[in-house]
Amino acid sequence: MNEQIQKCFRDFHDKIRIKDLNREEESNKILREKRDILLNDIKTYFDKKNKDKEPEEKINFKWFNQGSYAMYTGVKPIDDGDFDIDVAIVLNLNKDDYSNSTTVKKWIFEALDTKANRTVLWKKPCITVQYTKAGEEKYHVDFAIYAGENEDGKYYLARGKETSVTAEKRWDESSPKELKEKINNKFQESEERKQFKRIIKFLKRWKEEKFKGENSGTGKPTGIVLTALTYKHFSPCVKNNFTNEIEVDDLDALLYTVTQINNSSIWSEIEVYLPVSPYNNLFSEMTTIQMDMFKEKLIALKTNLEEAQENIDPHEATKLIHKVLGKDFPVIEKEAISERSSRPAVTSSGESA
Amino acid sequence: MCKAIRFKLPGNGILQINGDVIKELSMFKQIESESTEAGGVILGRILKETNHLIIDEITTPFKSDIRKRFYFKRRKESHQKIVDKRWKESDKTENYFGEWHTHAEDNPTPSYVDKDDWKRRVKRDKLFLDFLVSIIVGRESIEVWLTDENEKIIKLKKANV
Repeated sequence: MNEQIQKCFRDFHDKIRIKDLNREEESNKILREKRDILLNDIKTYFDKKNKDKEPEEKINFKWFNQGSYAMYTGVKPIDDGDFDIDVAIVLNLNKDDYSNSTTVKKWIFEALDTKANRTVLWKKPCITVQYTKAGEEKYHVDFAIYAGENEDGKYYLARGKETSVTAEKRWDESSPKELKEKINNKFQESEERKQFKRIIKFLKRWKEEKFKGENSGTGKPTGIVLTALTYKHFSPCVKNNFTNEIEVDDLDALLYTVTQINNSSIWSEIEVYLPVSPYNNLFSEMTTIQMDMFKEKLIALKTNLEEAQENIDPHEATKLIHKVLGKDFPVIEKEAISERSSRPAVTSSGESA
Repeated sequence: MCKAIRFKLPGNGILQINGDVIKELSMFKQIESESTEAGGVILGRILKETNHLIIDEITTPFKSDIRKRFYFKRRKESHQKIVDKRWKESDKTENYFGEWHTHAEDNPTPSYVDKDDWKRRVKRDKLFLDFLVSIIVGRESIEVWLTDENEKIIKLKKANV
């Protein structure tokens, strides 16, 4: 364990993480304000729709944050990219009363598609509100819409676009709250939990760096794939095995996780299951070629981390990590860690044979 | 990417040849029957916390140097200039460690000429370390020797960190 390198991981983490949504931070504040304006628009829409309806026929909704904001695994986008926030809208309705899921999604679309400064988009798993600045995508809010009062007591996600084929307009079983809880409660011990979240964030930033400008067609994993992989394979490295004293080693923990992910898929296709219902394989939509491209990049990550761990020079070690985790990972300057000498050596001509 | 190679120093220290240097040294391997001997000086740093030695640069042959199949002569001026320059640029941290050259054999061993040159340097040159580091690049392996102030020559073993 090298203190200097661990400090680089801490500084890196401070640079890339998105801080708690409920605390004041400029980028969060804007998103939070936008979110609240949009939620208010949805409320107004349903108030209008519910007017003159019997109480039992009124449509109400609850909302909560989901995704990386809710799990504290958010990473700042690179190169001034697009920030996002995921919001769950849970409607008090039974999916069986709406055979076409897009009927319900359309309400949210209509509720939001009212202003010129926002673009509202149909996406398969959600309705997205995109805010742009001078033509560039700046931030967006994703609304996932659930039916919340079903016979089996589960939530169902409204999937599909208005233009989708019938098979894609469906209700998918989903457990957004359980997922949030499972990720947040995996480790009771604070140092272990914090390291678990950091490793997820490191892998998410690695993904952004290594699949820069590429879409999912090239094997670019989603945030939830990396979260689920870390959930399954991570093991904390926060204590000295002999003295039991706190000794946090993020390089060790990251390398261990990456090695385990890689080992799990040497003889078989890579897979990882959502740790909550419906427990689906999150790689099921990738082709073999895409999975191979993902694995190839994962092996390069592992090779560089291994070499960094063996390297006795903190400058070289951090250079290797910088190569895989990107420009926000600091490189320790040679001059800062090396002895100074009083004069350069003086050497003569010489021969060898 | 070339991996760094590490050697055990007498005592507890480690000498590491960085990956980029390994890559550069490998380019001078005398593989072809007509390739000639090459050489230059080794530049490195001492780490403050651990006292480990890090080699992160070498000089390569200049036109004024003499390169034969089994002989290499380096002249001091051009190489010394680089030593002085790098020392200044690195805020006085990078300095001269020793000499490297190639051999047209698989696993290199020093010749009498090599050993005499190393001993002479320990006595006559103004070194940075208490000993001279010498690398010989063979066709299949890279080996490292130290020559100490008593002119004793020690071959270093690879370290498994």
